[in-house]
Amino acid sequence: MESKILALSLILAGIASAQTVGEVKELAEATEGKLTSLEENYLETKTTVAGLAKLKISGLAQVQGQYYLDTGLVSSSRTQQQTYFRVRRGRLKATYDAGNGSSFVTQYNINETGLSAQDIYFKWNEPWLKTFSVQAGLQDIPFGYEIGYSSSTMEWLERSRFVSNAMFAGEKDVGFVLGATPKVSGLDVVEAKVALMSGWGLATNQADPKALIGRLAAGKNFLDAGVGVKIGASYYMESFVNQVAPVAAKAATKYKNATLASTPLDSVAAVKEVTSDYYVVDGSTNFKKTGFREELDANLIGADFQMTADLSMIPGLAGAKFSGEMYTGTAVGLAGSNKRPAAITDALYQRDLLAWYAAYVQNIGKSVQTVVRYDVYDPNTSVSGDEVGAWKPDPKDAKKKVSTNGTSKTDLQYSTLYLGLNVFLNGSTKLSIGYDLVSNETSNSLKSTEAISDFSKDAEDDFVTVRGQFSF
Amino acid sequence: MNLSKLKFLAPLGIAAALMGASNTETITVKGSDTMVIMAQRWAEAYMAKHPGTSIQVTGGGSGTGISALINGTTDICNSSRPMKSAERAKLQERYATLGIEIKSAKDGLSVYVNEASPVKDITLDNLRDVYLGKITNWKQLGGPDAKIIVYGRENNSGTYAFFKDHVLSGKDYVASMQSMPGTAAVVNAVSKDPNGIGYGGMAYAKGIRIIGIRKAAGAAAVEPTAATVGNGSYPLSRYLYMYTSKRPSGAVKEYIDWILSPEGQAIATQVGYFPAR
Repeated sequence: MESKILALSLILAGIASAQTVGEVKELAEATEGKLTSLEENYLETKTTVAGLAKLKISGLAQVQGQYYLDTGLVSSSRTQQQTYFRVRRGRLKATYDAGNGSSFVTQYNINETGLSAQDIYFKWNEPWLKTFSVQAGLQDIPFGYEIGYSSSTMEWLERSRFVSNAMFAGEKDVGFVLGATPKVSGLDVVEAKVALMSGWGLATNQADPKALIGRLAAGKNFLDAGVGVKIGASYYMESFVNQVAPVAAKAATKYKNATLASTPLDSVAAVKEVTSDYYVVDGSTNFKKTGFREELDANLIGADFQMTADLSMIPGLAGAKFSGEMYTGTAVGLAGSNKRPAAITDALYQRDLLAWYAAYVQNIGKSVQTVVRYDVYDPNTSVSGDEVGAWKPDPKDAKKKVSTNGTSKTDLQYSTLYLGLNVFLNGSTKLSIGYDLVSNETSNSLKSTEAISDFSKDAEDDFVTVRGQFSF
Repeated sequence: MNLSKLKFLAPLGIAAALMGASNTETITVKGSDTMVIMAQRWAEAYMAKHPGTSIQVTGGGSGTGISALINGTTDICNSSRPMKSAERAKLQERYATLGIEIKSAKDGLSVYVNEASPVKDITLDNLRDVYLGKITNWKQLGGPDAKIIVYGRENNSGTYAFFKDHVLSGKDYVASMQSMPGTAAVVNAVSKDPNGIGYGGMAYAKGIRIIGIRKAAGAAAVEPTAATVGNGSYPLSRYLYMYTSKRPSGAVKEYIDWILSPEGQAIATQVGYFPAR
């Protein structure tokens, strides 16, 4: 009996055992299947994440308050406002690097006044010599150093007066930039750019010819000495075609329903019979010129240098940067502005200019930066002193003034001493305080009862700026 | 211009001087995961001798460490690769310095296989083809008929970058490579996977086997040792770096000087690396 029970037990155990092995095998196969599935999911996820990693989002917010020290500025240009708050920058930038030598960048500025495009371009790096690239779209004008220097890392609060108030205001243009960075030993410190751009900034109404711009820079780091040096030279060449409003006005008279906007200047034959005015304000009394489709050349050359040095051998000090730029040549602007003409119907003014700045930045420890910059901008080197804004009584109406040389306050030289302090609160937040002591060339021809526009003495326009910046 | 207005800036200048003059005995070290064990040993030994100094060591990868150096959130960055020119330019923009590079130790970037693997060595070409996905079976390398499971590092790793530059000639890793967050994770994965292959610093070689590297098919296999790494005959020899944003001073300088001293270099050797000089 016992032997039968034992035999039965063994048989049952064997069946159970067989069932267990089968289950385990089944379980193992199922687990293997799940693992394979997980591996496939992992690879899919990895591919998706790798794609997302090609897209980088960065941003910048600059919020500032300005306090005008002189009441002249308060009483005139900013009615009863001595303190002025604004969002200077609200940037959002997306960069997609395809990983195959091509990349795409789009950047927008959003602030209390609206939304504007800053950058929309793509870049292609040729794969053979790995030396040349083409960057096409809305982008920085490759002239000088300051324009391409990001405002998030810029040590002073505003770019030089030449860049922000003259031909390169806005700093952007649409066009094509050919870049070269040779990989040949000895030449790998050189960077060259040649650009063909619209020459009209963000204006949509462009006229030929386009602007030809070039920049050549070379840099060298002396690691043992802790010194870095970079120099650059730039060239800008553009012609503005004189097509001023009076032409269209006369065309409108001749062609009943024609208006400035609806009369294409090129297409109206009769317009060619009409002469138009432009101005070469070189100090002479013969400043008013005429000639439809006359080309006014803007030719500028610039030179820049930057030097950094580790001064941490001096207790308390860290890196120092000494930089400067100089521009000279002929620019084309408007009657009341040295900015590039933004429409083909504006009357053109041609002036010879000279601009330069020198700046010293001293880092103290890891989180403090002090800045001194002296910036000079003379938009018209042909006139000075009382010649600027010179006038005589209008022969037709003695109460009115008539310019004798076509100049105005737009032709005054300005120099600005900037003193600044930057404190880096953490890796993303910076607090800046800047003091702009602005001095203008004086001219008795530009007397006024308003302090802000009385240029017979230094106008009252100094101000302090406090700015907070967050960037990521 | 009325210069009397300059008085306005006097308090700012004083504030700047005070902030700049602030000093601390806490040293932060961030960066390479390859170096993190060595950096921790250095910190522990140094703090034991200098109770007034606190050293905080974290990993995260060489790229993360260099970003932290640029952002000013670390005093010392550990990196298993040299700083790139673009990174140096960012440092120059932020601090007006080029950074100070300190060679703190030497390493032979090692190739790991499972202890059970019969494969003893590999040529550089074959290693490249494994990581490019051109060689997928151990049989092609003299091993069993089994799929090669490729382990590597994430792209913020200096070791990832060094391997890509020196082995893959800059080409992209095979998509199926399993990216691990640190060298220890690579070692752990390969130790449990008989078909696994990975790479990393020598100091982590526990539970796996380091195989020799042949420069070419007919060349002798070279294993990473003090002699071969020291004289550069091991094909994947490399320096391990420390970076500071400016010339080290005060407590940071004293710490770095100690790391480069025989005592500090002896710790590098104990951990599994080699003296920098």
